[in-house]
Amino acid sequence: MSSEDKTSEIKRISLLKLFWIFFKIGLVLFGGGYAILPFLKSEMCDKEKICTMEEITDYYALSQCFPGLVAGNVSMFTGYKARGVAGAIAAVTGVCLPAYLSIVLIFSFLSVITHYPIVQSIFSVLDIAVCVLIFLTILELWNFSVYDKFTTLIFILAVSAALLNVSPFIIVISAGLLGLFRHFAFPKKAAPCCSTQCSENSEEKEHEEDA
Amino acid sequence: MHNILLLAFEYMKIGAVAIGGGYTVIPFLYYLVEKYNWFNVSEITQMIAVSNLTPGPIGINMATFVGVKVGGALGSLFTTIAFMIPSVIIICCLAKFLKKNKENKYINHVMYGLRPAAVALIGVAGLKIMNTTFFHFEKFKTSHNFFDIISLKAFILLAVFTLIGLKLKKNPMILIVMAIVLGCFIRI
Repeated sequence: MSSEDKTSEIKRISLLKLFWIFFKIGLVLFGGGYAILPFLKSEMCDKEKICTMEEITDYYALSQCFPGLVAGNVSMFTGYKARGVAGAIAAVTGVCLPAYLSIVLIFSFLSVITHYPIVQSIFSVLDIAVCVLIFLTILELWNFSVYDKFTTLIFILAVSAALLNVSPFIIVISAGLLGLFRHFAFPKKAAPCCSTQCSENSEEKEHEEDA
Repeated sequence: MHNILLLAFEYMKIGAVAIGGGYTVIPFLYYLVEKYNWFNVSEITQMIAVSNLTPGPIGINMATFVGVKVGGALGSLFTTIAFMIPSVIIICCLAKFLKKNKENKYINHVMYGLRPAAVALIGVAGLKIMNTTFFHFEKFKTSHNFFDIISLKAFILLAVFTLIGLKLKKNPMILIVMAIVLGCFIRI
């Protein structure tokens, strides 16, 4: 009941306003979705008072566990909180539109300049930077993804399958099924988490494993 | 038109299984390269780099990039929308569901299995990029100089970028800009 009380307290915000807020966020969101939190906090918590920081953190953790982009998913959760399904769609369109428009604009001149040797040289250095970015992303995801024997096993299996050029779809789907299988095989083990406590729990488990 | 619809369908599938943000899409891009030959491997790293430089979520940047590449303006529109449809449906249902009950153990278990696989896929995608930039087997074949296989410059840059990246967590923008500046002077 308390959740219903809360929703009635929320200030109504027009869909256009919601779209505009997220469009602005999308415009300043550089380098992926992880940077969205501070912007969401200032716009949705402090200015519009639609949700609390705790809720946004919850949304953020959930967004990483479900298909789709983290930034898109967080925006949808917040938009849903404000105006239901229509709000979610307004928010996600707003946050994605700048990304779409900028690539369409850039693409036309990118194909012209890539033939210059200096541009090719720049891109070869960029390759290395991209490797580092991927490596850093793995570090960030590692704590709440690979933290006990079972997840390590899945990790090793998935790496070998990917190296053997197994379709990523098959890898992802069978990994999900394995997770479900573990639940039926060892029903007494505590359910692995999928919320804000995720990283904390995983660290605890890591320590247990070390000991 | 046939290509565009096919790409949109493939991207919708990717949107339904890519968990954990834009970088999870990368292994699927390799899958697309192998299956359809619409673009090549070096263009994937180009896409990632450009996506890091442009505003907005990286996954959308890449979807639009692939879309323009394969089917022009119409292709990009179809691809981007197709990419978002599964997550829009899933998140809307989930938000509705979470309003009623907080957690579900089945979902938790599926996600528990999925996350390590997603990390593994991203890691292998990184290895594939390393394979093309750090090891030059073609050069070795022509020169027969053993030291030509491994690009030492690339490894030094890798170490430098990693150190900087670890310092400036969550700001990939700076790393990309630095790589562009260095790329003007260094030839690998």
